[in-house]
Amino acid sequence: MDKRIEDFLDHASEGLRDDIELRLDTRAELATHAEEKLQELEHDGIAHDEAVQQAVKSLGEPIELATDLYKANRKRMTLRAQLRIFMRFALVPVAIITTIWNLEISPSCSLWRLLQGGPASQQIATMLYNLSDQDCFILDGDLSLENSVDQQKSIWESDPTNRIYFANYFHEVGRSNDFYSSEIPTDLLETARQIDPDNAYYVYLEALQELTNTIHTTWPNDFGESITPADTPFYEIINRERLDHCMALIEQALNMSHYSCYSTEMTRIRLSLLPPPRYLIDLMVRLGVVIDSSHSPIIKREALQLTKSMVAYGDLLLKEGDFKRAEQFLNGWEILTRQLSSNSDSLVEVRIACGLPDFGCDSAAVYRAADRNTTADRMAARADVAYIRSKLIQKMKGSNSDVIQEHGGILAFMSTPNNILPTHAGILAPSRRLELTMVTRFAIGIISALLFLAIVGCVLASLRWRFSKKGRVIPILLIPSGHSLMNTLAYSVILPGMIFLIFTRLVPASGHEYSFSAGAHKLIAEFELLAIALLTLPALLGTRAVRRRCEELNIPTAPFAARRLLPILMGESFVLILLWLTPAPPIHLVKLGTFIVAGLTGLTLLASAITGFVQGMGGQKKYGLFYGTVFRSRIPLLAGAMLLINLVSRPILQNAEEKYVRQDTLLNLTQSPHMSRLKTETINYIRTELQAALKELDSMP
Amino acid sequence: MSVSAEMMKGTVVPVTLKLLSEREMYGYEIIKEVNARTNQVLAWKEATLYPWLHRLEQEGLIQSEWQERPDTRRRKYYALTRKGKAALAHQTSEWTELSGAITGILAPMAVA
Repeated sequence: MDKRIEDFLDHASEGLRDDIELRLDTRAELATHAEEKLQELEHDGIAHDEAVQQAVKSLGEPIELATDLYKANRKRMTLRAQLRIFMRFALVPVAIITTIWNLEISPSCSLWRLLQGGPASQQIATMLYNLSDQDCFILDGDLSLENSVDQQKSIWESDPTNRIYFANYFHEVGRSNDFYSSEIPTDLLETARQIDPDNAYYVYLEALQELTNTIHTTWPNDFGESITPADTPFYEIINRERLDHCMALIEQALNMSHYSCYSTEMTRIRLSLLPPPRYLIDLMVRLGVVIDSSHSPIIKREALQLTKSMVAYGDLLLKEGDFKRAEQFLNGWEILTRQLSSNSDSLVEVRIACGLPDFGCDSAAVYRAADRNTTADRMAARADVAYIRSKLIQKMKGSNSDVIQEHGGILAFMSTPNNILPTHAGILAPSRRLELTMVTRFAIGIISALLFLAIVGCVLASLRWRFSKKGRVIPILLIPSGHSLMNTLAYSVILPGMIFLIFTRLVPASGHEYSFSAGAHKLIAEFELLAIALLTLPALLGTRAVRRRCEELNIPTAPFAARRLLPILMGESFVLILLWLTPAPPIHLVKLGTFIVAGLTGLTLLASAITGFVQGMGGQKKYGLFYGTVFRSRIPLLAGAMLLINLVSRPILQNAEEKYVRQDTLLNLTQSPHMSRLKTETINYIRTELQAALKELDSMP
Repeated sequence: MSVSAEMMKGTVVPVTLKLLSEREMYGYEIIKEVNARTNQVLAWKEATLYPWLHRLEQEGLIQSEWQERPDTRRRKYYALTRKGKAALAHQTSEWTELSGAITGILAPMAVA
């Protein structure tokens, strides 16, 4: 352009010098006017020099024009200046704060600590909820004391006659001392007898302690494999005196009506102190309380030991002619079964109770060996009626492993043992979706962190041009029009987010319908595509808008080399979509392929970011203003994207989390004090079946 | 006959809004159209249109967009907004009333 026109434009736009973008825009507009006027004058035959003079003169006085332009744009410049201050100094910090707020650091750390097996759930509960001192005490005990045993003891000492608190303390001692490999302290057993004299549980434990090194039984170690008369002698007495003492204890226990380890009661007390669950962290805290409050029941090994020794002792007494006492021990399996089925709230114990009638066959064999065939037949008939273990195994064995494998989340794996009532995908859905909601939140955190890194890169790149020793330029912070900004954010954030939500929540074939092992290829594809969209679209659309604006302002532009990676990224996205379409569970090759493509996509994203950054930092000087402007103008856009992602996702994900906690049929532990509702239903089912079978025995001879 | 600058000032807004109501135009095009239609009676100083265009844009009566049409250079086109249409209607009725009133005073009196 002719220097006289350039000078005119410089003077005429002087009034707008405080707003570089507006100045350049007005300058460009006046320049097109001047060029068109010049062209017309030259077309009319006027010489170039004269045409330039006339064109400049027709535009009027530059100083007067500068004043009029300043007056006309004063309000707009003030507003734009305020906007730039906000974009420079407030938007990025607000976006960072919003991201941190969305991550919910405190509950997230608590959740992480719970999953790592960190401090007891009770302690986390007291941190998260506003509990009274008394409630905290019941949850944790006196935390000023050093070890967990003393802490639980302090709860009992606050109410010394409370059987439930005592049982809790008793089991904490057992947990730390490992009762089953060492002796229970005598004073503890004494106290148990005083506080809870009618509870058979403590007496059985004491008997088990006494049983050690008193009798050696050669017996199959599982239910369903019985002795025969030909197997006798099937035991060897090691210490008769001690054995007699042990059996006297067992006799006592068999005649007690009450059997309880109070695990359920203590759990219920602690759960009642907590507020109703709203979020996953609440479920996890409750789960932790259940696990921490659960006490060791009589386990299978001990139950087998007890019952085998009863049958052996019964045989011994029969041979010695003490028929009455022998009968007591040979019927012991039935009494123990009734005690466990009516009092126990433990899945382990009720399952054991189902198998104990098997020892009725062994008792029958003992009677047969002593030629008491009528009694033997009666015993065998009763054992046959009461033994429901095979039937239950048939109903429950392995019934859930496939459905959990395919549709269960981590919580389902943790809380759902294999041999329980059948479950189905519908029951597992809320807990699985709850976990995936948390994964989505975590993914948004990662994406936000990457956007922040991109912002840092843009800051460095724009500063490089600002403070460059040679060819210094002042990068412009372009203010996008409302329409342009809305378009960019809608296409780069809202639209991908909506598509992700719709696909993952409403499409039946989405990865969210499957467990990670069955649907990994879909889940990885979904999150990877979301990350690609949220990381590349704001940058791409933002750069395109800046490039267009720079061309309007007559700033020389250059293509970014990173765009050459765009077809690769699109190809990888296409492959991810194809992998997503593969049915679940996938073959191993598909799973492997997904991991490889996901990794390659990550590398491509990294490569494009690095390429863009390097070009922006070290590009040609003539494009310095363009590069500086692109990077500077991207900062508020990326911060805006980060802010929008977190502002929009938080209520949606929080609402989803609350919904799935309410809907959860697996873990919502308000009513049932076990690890899962399914477990509670299984316990109730087994007890009902067992009690029905035992009721039949009442009508038998 | 040239019109004084004072009277010229009052014509800029209604005339610009009217022209933009017919189609979107760029600044120099508006100047040329005004000159052609008024037979140079409204000879606006060319560059002084731009402060008015910026004012009207700030008030929301018009909006601008850089466009590159086939076989032409990139230009900044202006178009009327909905608010501008309402303002044009109001200004048109104002001018009609005013010109009628002024004509009524300035016209020669009828001979009785």
